[in-house]
Amino acid sequence: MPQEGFERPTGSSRGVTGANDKPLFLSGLVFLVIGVAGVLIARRYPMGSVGNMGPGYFPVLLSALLCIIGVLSVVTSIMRAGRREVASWPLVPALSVALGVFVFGLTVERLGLIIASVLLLACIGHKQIRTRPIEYLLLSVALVIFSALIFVKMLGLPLNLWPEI
Amino acid sequence: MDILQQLAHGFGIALTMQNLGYCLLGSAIGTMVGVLPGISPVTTIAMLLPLTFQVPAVSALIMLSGIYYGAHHAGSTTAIMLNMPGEPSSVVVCMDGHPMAKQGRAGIALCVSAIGSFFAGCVGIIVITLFSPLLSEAGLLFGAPEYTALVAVALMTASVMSNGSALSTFGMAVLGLLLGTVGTDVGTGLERYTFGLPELAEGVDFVVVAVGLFAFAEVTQHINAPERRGALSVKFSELFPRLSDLKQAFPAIFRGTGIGAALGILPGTGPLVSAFVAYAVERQVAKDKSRFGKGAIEGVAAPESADNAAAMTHFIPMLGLGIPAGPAMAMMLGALMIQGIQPGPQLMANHADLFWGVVASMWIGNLMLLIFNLPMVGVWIKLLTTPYRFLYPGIILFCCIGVYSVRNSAFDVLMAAGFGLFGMVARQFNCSPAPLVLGLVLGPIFEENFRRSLTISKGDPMIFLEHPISAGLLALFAVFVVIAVLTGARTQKHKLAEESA
Repeated sequence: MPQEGFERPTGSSRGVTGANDKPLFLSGLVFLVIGVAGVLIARRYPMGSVGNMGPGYFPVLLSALLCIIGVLSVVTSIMRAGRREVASWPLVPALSVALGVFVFGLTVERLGLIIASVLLLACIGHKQIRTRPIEYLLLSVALVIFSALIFVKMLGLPLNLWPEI
Repeated sequence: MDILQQLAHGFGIALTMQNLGYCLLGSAIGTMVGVLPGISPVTTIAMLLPLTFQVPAVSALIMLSGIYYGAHHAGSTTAIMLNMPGEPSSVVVCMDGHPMAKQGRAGIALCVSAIGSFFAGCVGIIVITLFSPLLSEAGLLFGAPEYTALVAVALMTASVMSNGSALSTFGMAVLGLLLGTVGTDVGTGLERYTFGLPELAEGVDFVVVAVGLFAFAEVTQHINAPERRGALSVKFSELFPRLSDLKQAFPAIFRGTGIGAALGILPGTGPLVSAFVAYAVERQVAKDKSRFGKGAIEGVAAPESADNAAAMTHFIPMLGLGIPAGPAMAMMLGALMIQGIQPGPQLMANHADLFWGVVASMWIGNLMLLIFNLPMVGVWIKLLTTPYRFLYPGIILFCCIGVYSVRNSAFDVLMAAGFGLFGMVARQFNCSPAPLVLGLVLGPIFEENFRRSLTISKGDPMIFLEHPISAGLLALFAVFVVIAVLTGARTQKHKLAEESA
């Protein structure tokens, strides 16, 4: 079930990169960087031969392929007719979600599920969301109680509810 | 006869109180997920993974598959009522379904899509029943070169059939393969790309990646979406189409079902692609093309049928060969592997109960869905108005717990946060995340068989062409490359034409 980003062909013509298709250009750069890093790291692994491949052979092959795709993307993005810009970045939601999940991961084992959940919910309930504070508070309390009961008490996941003393 | 006996045995398993309950639960959750935009089946399966550890494998798979096909069944409701896909693949139904609703024909659109889904679902199950055993028998003949070629074709189709540039999606597939090499090399025991972290020695779990790329990135996209305004309401008496409507809809349902059933089997394609193809075909065969986009009933019936037929036949590569055809299938395979069930062509022989029990439950589930989607449609329409701001905190919390529970690893949660950010970036760059997940799941299978093939042939790449099945698959691979290049060139021309106009 593929999901696609939205294409936003726009008429504006500010070209800092010189590329017409900016999403393609930037994704090409990302592939290129990962591909180069992949080759550099995999150099340390024994390559072996085609008939008897070592652990390094396949990763180097893939990284090299990724470099080629990256270069091709960058070239096509410059040649392509018709401008395409990157859609506006959902930065606040993305960072708050990532931060919340990260904090949950850091704390869930040491501080227990309840405190970790509270911290997670505190991180993701940022101002851009039009929930009234009291609603969000009630929702959070319900969610924390629900997950403690269902996942730990009922399903018996090996998680502490509270910090170990 | 043998198949009927096996199916009867399967019904014996599916009709136990417990499994009937899981089937009902799965279909109900699936319908809910399908109706609510912003929660996909992948996300739901991730949230429910901890639940599946506690139940037998058959019940778990019955529930998870119910969620999957239930979501595809119900996604059209949101598309028709709100002009918004409740499930990504129902985006095509919006084009004619919502205009129908605006003309006061919402009930008819809902009814036709429910009938189409039911019919397509039934045909899909028949195809699964007949085709999976054949495939799994053929799969037993598969050697290393055949598997290598099959995986290559699966990844290529996934790249060509995704929306967006074929180059970017192919890059995502290769990136997925590369991620699959992280961890201990099976042949030599050397750790690759682990950066000395013991948590990475066993590799990157695809549940982590799928949750990051789908669930977290999805929430990020929807979090600031405008609130949905009150949905239209539909009375039960408005649901019945006239005979002339049915006369127009039925041929479209048949065509859509055929397209969906055929395309769904190919790994990498799936419901969304099938729905697009079915819609395009309807436009081609229609006498009056101008009706499309303005409430043509075929424009609802055909893509909805294709969507559901493909959602069913999508199970075939997973059940028959152990090759998941898409991210949701990979999640289900993951749930089975946690239960200690080894996927592959031998699954049907070793776990016949599992296969036939699940297939039988699909019949029951499909019938339940017909009831959910026709007499009870009003209930789900009310659910549509639940604001997303009340849903997303729970989605994120339960996904975190789900990710943690797979390996009891807090490190996995940290990685999921990282993949969430990466998924957001990928979406901004029009890179479809599905091929990456597929590449990650198929990567180890691909590498193992690739290496083994070339060891067998002492390094001669001709081995892939000497084996007839693998040669055939590689020919298919070449066809897809050509399609990718040609469609790339065509969109290019199209753009130029648009600009000069």
